[in-house]
Amino acid sequence: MSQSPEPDLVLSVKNLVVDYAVHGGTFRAVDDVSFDIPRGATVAIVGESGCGKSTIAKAIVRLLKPASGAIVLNGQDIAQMPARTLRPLRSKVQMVFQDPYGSLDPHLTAEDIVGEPIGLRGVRSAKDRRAEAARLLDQVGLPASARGRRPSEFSGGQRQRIGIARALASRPDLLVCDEATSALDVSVQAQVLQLLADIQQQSGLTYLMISHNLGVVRENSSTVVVMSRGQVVEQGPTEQVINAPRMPYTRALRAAALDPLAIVGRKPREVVSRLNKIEFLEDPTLLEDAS
Amino acid sequence: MNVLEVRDLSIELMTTAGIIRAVDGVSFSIEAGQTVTIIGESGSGKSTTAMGLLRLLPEDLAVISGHAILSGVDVVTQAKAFAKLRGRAVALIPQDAMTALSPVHTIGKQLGQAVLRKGPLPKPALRERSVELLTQVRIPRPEDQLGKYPHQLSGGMLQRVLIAMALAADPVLLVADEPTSALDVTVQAGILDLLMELQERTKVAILMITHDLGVARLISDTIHVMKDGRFVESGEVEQIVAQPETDYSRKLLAAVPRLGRWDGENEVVAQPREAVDLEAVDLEAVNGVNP
Repeated sequence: MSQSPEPDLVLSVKNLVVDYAVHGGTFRAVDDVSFDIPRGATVAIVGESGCGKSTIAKAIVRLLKPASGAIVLNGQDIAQMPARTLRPLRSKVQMVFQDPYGSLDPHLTAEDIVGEPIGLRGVRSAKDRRAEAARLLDQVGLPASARGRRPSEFSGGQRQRIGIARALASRPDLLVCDEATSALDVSVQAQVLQLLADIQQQSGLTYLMISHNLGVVRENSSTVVVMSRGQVVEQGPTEQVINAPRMPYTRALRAAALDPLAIVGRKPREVVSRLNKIEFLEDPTLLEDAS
Repeated sequence: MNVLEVRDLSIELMTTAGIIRAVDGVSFSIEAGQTVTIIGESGSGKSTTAMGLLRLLPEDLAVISGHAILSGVDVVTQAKAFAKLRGRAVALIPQDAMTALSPVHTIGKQLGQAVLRKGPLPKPALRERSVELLTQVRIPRPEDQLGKYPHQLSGGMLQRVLIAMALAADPVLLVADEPTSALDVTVQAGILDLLMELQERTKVAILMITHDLGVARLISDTIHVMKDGRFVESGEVEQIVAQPETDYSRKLLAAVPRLGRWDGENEVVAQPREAVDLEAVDLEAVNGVNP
């Protein structure tokens, strides 16, 4: 028996395996991945293209059905749950997508985009839906004039704010942010991340943040899962993993991530050539593109 | 001795929304062996400056004025003479390696064309020079790569092929337009290291266009911070990053997530970032809302 009380987990992923069908076989995109997300925390998955991080996000919101393993949401395993049983649980996990231009219906106004999930929640009166949508758009920092405008009339950062308001409209327990700020300018990214932090502080919302950016992960998560080629390389408290990475892959990521204020001297090649000493990068299979 | 001397360069673009002054009177110069970086966010005019200097903007939609002297030729007023320099004295390293190469021709064929811009060569010498170039950009087994098509190589390897093509005619200036923005950080590190190594050896001047302050800090001698078509601040790299003088540069730096210094094993210094002041400057307005 454990001494400490059971932690309150919003989500627990256990031995998750996701396969994609490729011509004449399967490609194992996620290979035996396990991690927990405590309520109110921000857990980050960090890794490079093709490591399986977005596939995990899609499996968690059940846009994909895993080959095996468990996805335990609020105590219920949803990994293989049939669509009908799953439906009422879907609102509990919401996603903010990477592409601010492709993830909003261009025909709808901001108010309609945010109002739709409010309707799905059972709010029947159009007046109540509009009032709730207005409150959410206000919460994500958009002016009242934004309500009647369509996606094309907004900047990338503003669109992400609408995406966040839409996700909040379902009153989720977990928000999955899949590279939610990667397409934004750095100043706009900082504003959107600040907004997410404010929302968490006010409401205690739980986040799973998928990112390739070690700096973003460091400043915004308490726990980090480092992935490469479908597997977990290293996981633990963010500060510990980033300050003293144990595994060669994590060290390579850390060495390659450039923090302008941490670079000393003019054109210091040792900053990046340190990478050449890390043996896995000389792996000849890296020459061939997997995609 | 300046390789490139730009004086009061302006570029006006004709768009559906009217005439936009994308570049508004910028002046700068680059010496041999130097890297000068223009850094800015989306819509700042940094790529337009680069493309204008290469005369790669559509002639009927872009009006260029001012002066830009490269190898004794004024890019602005002597378009015909400059056309002979492009791909020879000056070459471009583009952002998207996947689309910059023709999918239906081999690496060897495309690299060979770049080599032949310098003058005719018999076949064996052409092949020898191609292998030499691929070796210079540290592509493993160069002879094998010549017969391959672009889709058979990874993004990082294709970017190396494009650098080899840019180097084919021994240029005095390389214009690198976000050359690593589409790459994973570990791959980016290899490309940046390669550019620095080539510059040390050949003294080629580099005009770097980037939105990434970490990249700019690592490889630049001089930085120009661009916003709304103008340089808001210019100076030596250490000074701009350590002591930015304008509000805009300070804001840009403050928005970069901090990682701190790392010696390859453990954290050396971790400085917390100043909180981003979201109210002081409306950066979303600066970046422009689509009309």
